[in-house]
Amino acid sequence: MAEMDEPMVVEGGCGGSCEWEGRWNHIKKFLERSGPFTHPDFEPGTEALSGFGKIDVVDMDTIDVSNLNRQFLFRPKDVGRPKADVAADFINSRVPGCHVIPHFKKIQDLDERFYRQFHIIVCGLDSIVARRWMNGMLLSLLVYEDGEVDQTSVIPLIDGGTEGFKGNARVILPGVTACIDCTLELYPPQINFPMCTIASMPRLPEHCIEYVRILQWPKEMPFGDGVALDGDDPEHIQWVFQRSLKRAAEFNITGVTYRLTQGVVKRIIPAVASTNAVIAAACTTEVFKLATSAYVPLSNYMVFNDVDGLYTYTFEAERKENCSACSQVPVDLHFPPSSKFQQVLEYLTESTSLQMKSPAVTATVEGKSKTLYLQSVASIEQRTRPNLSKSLKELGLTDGQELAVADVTTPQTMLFRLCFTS
Amino acid sequence: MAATKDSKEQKYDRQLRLWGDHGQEALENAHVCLINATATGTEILKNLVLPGIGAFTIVDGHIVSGEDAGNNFFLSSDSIGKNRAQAATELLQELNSDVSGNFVEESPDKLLDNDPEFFHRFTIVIGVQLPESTCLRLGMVLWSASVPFLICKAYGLIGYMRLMVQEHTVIESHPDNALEDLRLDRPFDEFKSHIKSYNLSIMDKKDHSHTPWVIIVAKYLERWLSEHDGQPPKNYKEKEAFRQIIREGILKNENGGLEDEENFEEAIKNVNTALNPTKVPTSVEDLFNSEQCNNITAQSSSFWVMLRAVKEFVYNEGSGSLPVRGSIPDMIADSQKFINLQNVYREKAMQDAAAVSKHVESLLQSVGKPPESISEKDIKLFCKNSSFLRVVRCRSLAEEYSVDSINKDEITSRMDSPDSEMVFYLMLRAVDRFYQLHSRYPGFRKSLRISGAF
Repeated sequence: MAEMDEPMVVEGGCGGSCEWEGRWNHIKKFLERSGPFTHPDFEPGTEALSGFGKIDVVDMDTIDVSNLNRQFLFRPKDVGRPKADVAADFINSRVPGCHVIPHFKKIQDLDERFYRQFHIIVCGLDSIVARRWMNGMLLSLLVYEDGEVDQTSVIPLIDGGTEGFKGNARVILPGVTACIDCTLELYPPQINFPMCTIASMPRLPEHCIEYVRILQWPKEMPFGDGVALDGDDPEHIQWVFQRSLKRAAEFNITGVTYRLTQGVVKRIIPAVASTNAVIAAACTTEVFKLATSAYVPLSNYMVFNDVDGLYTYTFEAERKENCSACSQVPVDLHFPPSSKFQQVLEYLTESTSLQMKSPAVTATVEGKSKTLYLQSVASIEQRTRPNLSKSLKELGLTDGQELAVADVTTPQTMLFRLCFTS
Repeated sequence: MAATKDSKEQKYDRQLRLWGDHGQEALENAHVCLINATATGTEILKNLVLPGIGAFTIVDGHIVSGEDAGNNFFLSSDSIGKNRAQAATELLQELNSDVSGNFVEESPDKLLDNDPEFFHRFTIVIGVQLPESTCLRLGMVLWSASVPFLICKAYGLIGYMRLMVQEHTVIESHPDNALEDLRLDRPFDEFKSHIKSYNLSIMDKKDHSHTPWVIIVAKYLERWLSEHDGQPPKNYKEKEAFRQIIREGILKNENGGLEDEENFEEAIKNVNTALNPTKVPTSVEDLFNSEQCNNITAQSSSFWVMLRAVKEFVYNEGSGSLPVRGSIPDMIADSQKFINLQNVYREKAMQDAAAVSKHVESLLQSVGKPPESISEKDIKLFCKNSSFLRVVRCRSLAEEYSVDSINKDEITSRMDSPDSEMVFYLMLRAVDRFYQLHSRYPGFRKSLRISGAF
C-alpha cells in the first residue's frame, strides 16, 4: 500500500480541526460507488457525507467501576459522574464536528416533543420494560390517515441488547414492521424461586441469598427503618453475604460467595467488550443504512452467539395481528361478571402477550371516573385494595365497558374493553 | 500502575462471571500482536485491551493519512503524519492502565526479511488488511512456531476472518445445554446403597413429597428391571408405561384424588432424559483415538496427559464411563435429602478424580516428569469437564492456498446454493490476487492517490 505524499489539514469550520483532506474518503466510497450492494435508486445527500453531526444521548445512570471493562468512553476518574455527560464530552473532543448533547434523565422523563425531533432512535436499554416504553412512545407519535400510517410520522427504532456472549439487534419501523410487543413471547421468562423453597427448603446457595434478601432484610432493617437494600452499596452486600453464609451453614449448603451474593441481589448479567462491540456495530450499520438510504436495511432481527464458534442468523419477525401495542385493535377482556377484580389484574400481569408490571386501572362508573386499583401510591393502594376481592358486577362495571390501564410498560394509557361471559 | 487485586476484581466483575479467575489469568498472560492499525485492527485491540490482556504490540510501517484519521476512533487529526503504530498505541493504551502497549514502526515484510523469530513471542498474531504474499509468508513462520494467526479484512460491508491454529485445546467449553450426568442406567455402588435407604411405601406424606425425583426414578427403575429381565424401558410405549407406574406411586388423599406431589411430576417429566444411556460422547472418543493421546511424551501438554489418564480410567475403573461429573440439577426436595443426594455424586466424582490422578502420576513418571507438574485442582477441573472437552484444529494457510490441497468440492458445492456466501470468499481471494499482480486494488485509478483498501 502506497503512502500519502504529505499530511493534509484543511482549514474548516471549527477552528481548523474539523475538516482535513481525505477525512470522508471511506464514507464517499460507500455512498458514491454503485455496485451489487448499493440501492439502485440511491443518491447521496450532503449531510450523509459529513458523518452524523448531531446526537442526543439519554442515560439515567452514573458510572460504576464495573462498567470500565467494556464501556470505553469512561475512565476510572469518571466513576460517579453521569454517563450521558461523560460520553458526550469524550465524543465531542475525539470526533471534531460531532455534537453530542447529554440528558442525564430517565427515558420516561422526556415527552413526545423531545422524541419527535429525531430521525432515528437507537436503544441499548437494560430492561424489557424500558424497551416497551420507548416502543410505545414512538407508536404514540404515529399519524394515521384513512387507517394507513403516514410514513413521515414513522421514526425508526434500532434496538440492541447483549448478555455474555449472546446478543441481538433489530430494526423496528413503528406501525410498519413488528414492534417490541409483537415479539414479547420471544423473551424467556424471568426465573424466580418458589417462596416455599426460599422460606423452608433451600437447596442451592442462591436460595439462601434470596432468603436473606426477601425475608431477613425487611424483618431486620439492618441499616435503618425503611432503608431498602441497595445492591450498589458494598456494606449492604456484605451484610447479605454474611447472613447467607449462616443460612447456608444451617442446611449444609456450600457455594455462597461474595460474588454470587452480589450477582443474585443485583440480578447481574455477565458482560464483555466484544459482544457489545458486535451488536453496537450491527446497530450502527443499520442507522447508517437508514440515514443514507444507500443499502438495504436489516429485515428485521439479528441473533448473535459466539459461545461456541460463531453463530449468527437473521429473520423477519412478524407483526402480531392483535398486538396490544401496535395493532390499533382494542383488546377485549373476557370475564364473567361474578369474577373477582383480582382475576382481571392477574390476567394483565400474567398473560404472555401483556406482561404488565403493576397496572393501574380506572373506569367510568355511573358517569364518574373511578380508580379501581393503583399500586404505586401507598394511600391509594390501601384505599382501593378492597376492590380486588369484589366482583366486577359489585364494582358497577357493565358489559362493553372501557377500562383504562396505565403501566410502566407503556407511556400511553391502554384501553381495554370488558366483555362479560356467562 | 499496579491495580490492587480488589480493584481489578471490581473492574472485571462482569467478565469474571463468564470465564472465572483462571480465565482472567490466562488473558493477563497473553501478549497480542496486531499488524496494521486500521479501523478494523484498532477495534479488535480495543476489545482485548478493555478486558485486560497482558500486553499488545502493534506492527505497522504506515504513516497516518487523512483518510485513516477519518475512519479510525483511535487516531486523531493530530496523528496525521505520524507513524500509525505509534499513534494508535497511545490512544489504545489509555483505555486500560493494566495493559502494556508497545509498537514497532516497521512493515511485517521487513520483519519477515530480517527477524522472523520476532513473531514467536506472541500468544496470537492478528493480521489486518495484509496482502496475500505477506499472509502466506507470515503464515508459514507462525505455523511452524505454533503461534495462532487470525487474518481479518473489512471490505465495505463485507467482513472476513480466518483463524489459523494448529491445535487449540479447550477444557472449559461452557456448553449452553449440557445433559446431566446422573448415571441412572449405570448406578454406581454408592448410589445404589443410598437409594436403599429410601422406602417410598412407608414414608409419611411430607417425606414422600420431598423425595428427589432422581431417587424416585431410580427406585421404580429397579423394580422395572427386575420385572423385565434386566431390560430398561426402550421405546415410547415402554417409557409411557414406566411413567404411568410412577404416576401410580403418587399418594392419594381421602377422596381418592391425587395429592399434589410436584417431585413425582418432575420424575415423570424427566423419565426421557433420565433413561438416556450413559456413554462417552463421540467427540471425546475421537480425542481418545488421536495420535496426541496415544503417544504421550515429555513434550505432551498437560491437556493430552490428562486426557490419556481419563482414557485409562474409562477402560479400567470407569468400566466404559467417564469420571462422574458430580453436579446435579436443582429439584423439588427438602434440603437434607437434596444435600445428601448431591454429596453422593460429589464424593463419587472425587473418587473418580483421584483414580484419574493416579493415572496422571504414572504417565508423568513414565516420561520422566515430576508428578506435581499437573495440579490436583487442574485434574479435578478436567474430570468435571470431561464430557465437554474440545480441540480446535485448522488447516494451514499454505494448504488452503495450494492448488493441490484446495477444498474444491466444498467450494463448488456451496456455489450451487443461491444463499451461499461462498461467492464473497472467491471475490476476496480474487481481489487479493489482483493486488498481488498490480500493486493496487481493483477500482482505483492510478491517477488518484493510492490509499489501499478500507
